[in-house]
Amino acid sequence: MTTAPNDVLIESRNLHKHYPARGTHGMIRAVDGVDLNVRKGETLGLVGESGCGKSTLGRLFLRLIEPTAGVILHKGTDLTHLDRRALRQRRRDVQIIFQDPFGSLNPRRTVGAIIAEAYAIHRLGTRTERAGWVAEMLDLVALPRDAAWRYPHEFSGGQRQRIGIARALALRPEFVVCDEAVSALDVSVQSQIINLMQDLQQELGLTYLFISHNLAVVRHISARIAVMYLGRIVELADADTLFARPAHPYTRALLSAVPVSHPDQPRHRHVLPGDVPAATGAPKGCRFAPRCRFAEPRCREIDPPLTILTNGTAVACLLAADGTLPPADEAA
Amino acid sequence: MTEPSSSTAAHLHLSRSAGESLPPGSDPGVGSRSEPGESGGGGAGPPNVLAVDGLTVKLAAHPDRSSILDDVTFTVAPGEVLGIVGESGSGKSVLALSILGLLPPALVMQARRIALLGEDLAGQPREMWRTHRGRNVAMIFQEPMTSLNPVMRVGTQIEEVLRWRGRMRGQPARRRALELLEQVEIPSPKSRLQAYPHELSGGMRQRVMIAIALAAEPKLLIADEPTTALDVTVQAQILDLLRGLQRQSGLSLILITHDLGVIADMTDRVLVLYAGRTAELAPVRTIFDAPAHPYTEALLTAIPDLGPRRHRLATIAGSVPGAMEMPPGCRFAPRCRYRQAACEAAPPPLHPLSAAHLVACIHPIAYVTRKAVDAPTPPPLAGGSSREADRWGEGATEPNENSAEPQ
Repeated sequence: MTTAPNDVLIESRNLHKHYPARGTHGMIRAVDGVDLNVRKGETLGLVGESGCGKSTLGRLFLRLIEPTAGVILHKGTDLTHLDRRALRQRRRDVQIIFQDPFGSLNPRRTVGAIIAEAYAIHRLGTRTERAGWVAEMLDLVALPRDAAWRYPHEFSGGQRQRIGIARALALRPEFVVCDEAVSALDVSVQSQIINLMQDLQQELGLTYLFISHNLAVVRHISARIAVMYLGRIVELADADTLFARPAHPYTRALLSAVPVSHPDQPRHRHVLPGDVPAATGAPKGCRFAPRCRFAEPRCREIDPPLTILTNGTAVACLLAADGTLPPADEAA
Repeated sequence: MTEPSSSTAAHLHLSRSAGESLPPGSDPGVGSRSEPGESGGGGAGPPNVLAVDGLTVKLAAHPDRSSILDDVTFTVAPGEVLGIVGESGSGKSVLALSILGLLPPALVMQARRIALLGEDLAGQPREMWRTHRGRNVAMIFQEPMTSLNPVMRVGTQIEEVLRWRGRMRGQPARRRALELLEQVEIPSPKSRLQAYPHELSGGMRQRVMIAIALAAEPKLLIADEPTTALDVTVQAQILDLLRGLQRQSGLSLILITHDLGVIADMTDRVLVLYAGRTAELAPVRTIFDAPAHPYTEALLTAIPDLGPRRHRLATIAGSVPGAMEMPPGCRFAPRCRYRQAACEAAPPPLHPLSAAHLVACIHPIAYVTRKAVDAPTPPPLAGGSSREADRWGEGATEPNENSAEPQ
């Protein structure tokens, strides 16, 4: 096994996760052959519509679920073959922040106990030391120290998300998966949490895999963005490049579907026909071809590999790869 | 459902001053959209589809201490799309239910007037509301699955409305149901008539909900977060559909959302609701180009958009107050970066800045000033007697203690 380049913190190679589909003999290919590098200190955005496999991929990165095939390399070590003990050690370095600040905090435990649980699991510190660390964590996420003695229901959604962040960061991980971490929050609170997460990243040198369906939020926070469709990465690019020159027809459709930000802003909307199809069975050729307005006969035959274009964008589209895809009409 | 008795509804003293009667006319920036007088009584313009005056909703258990909606007044003209924007706790969904007379028993409503197609329903018995519901006004919700009957075929659910409204039954109803599914652009509509809701995708279910809502050809459709549960590409489909239907049939639409993108995309006028009160009511372009209420301004700057990238997002400190903990003065004051002592003393009246632009702020942001706020240094101020000057004065002398991050 070759070691990863220095700046890659965690990566997946040919990662698969298949689930048996209920009521059929088919398999749902939630993640179906993903190669993805996350670089140290960056925020990698992961966007896609529901059912595309983005949350599954995030959980695979932490090995919260077992992959069907493929490997996850964390600083060159394969996480998929670690035993329980070794995995637990690794888990200090990799954490997750969940979407739902209501469902992910135990209502019967105090905030202090929720945060300190991480120390208990890893048998770190004495009682007093833990209490001190909890206070530090509360300071870090700008919650009052007396929050430690209160219960989750006493807090607003934004404050609960701060608690969730404090818990995720309690062991000072280096890699954090943020799974729709601000999606459930009201807009006025969302910006507070986004800013907090960016500050913490700076302060603690965190690396984020930021999963969201909200393209504007992902664009704001990410350096690079991966677009996922039916279990595959279809495009991976620098955030600004992705929005200025989306290469994949699906990315273009996705971007054009975002509501305008001003009433006078022109709409270039290519409304995609139909819904995201179920991820059962492996369609021959490109998965997006049935909904793609540029699809050619070859698209239904050949499964397009990720190809790197001259501007550095990686795209899984035969037409984009050989330059025959018509340019996006809003190229400005 | 709580029916307010006419005595409680009739006399409801609230501190409204300047905005008492909305002058007819239109903002020059709006184009052709005009704001007719409240009852359409001036003879100018068609009568309003909906006129709500002084709508107040409280918790039945604590009528004196709670406030969910406070003195909300607005109109919807024929063919108009009114956006209602607010965060959770702003009372926007309660507002929709009030218009339909569907408030749960835990809430009590009072209003000077809720006129649907000119008929005042405030204080009327529930039968009166029922004749309007479904026929003249219909509603679609965020999660279609909770509003569809899971054990009834889609076709039957549409026919039910047609039958119930006394219009048709049997073969004609079946034909009409098919037409409606075609109208909402459901692929292979004939077979979908036989489908159960669980067999449909989220977008398809919302289309069915729209078909059901349109079955009785209402004059007013209320859509409460109709696309919030949907993926962005499906949201685009549903918004396009709603826009098409609205233009085709001249339907009036109240679109309730927390998403300013949807507001920009779809609406003619916008009511910004904050903690149960109208913060601002203006044509959509005015809201985006020259918001006068600090809350509107804060919302617009707090949201990341696809425009130029910003290093940091503006934040609004704190969170929306609960129904039992409303501040006595301006409800936004505790979070407002322009707050003054007077803001916390009494609720600011909703007053007109121009014919079509109402704002509830005692020192609204002027467009010029707002530009200046974005600039690195404030421009020198002459006189110092204007409201803007006062605000600059305060901003310059004391640091804004309210901009701290903790909630």
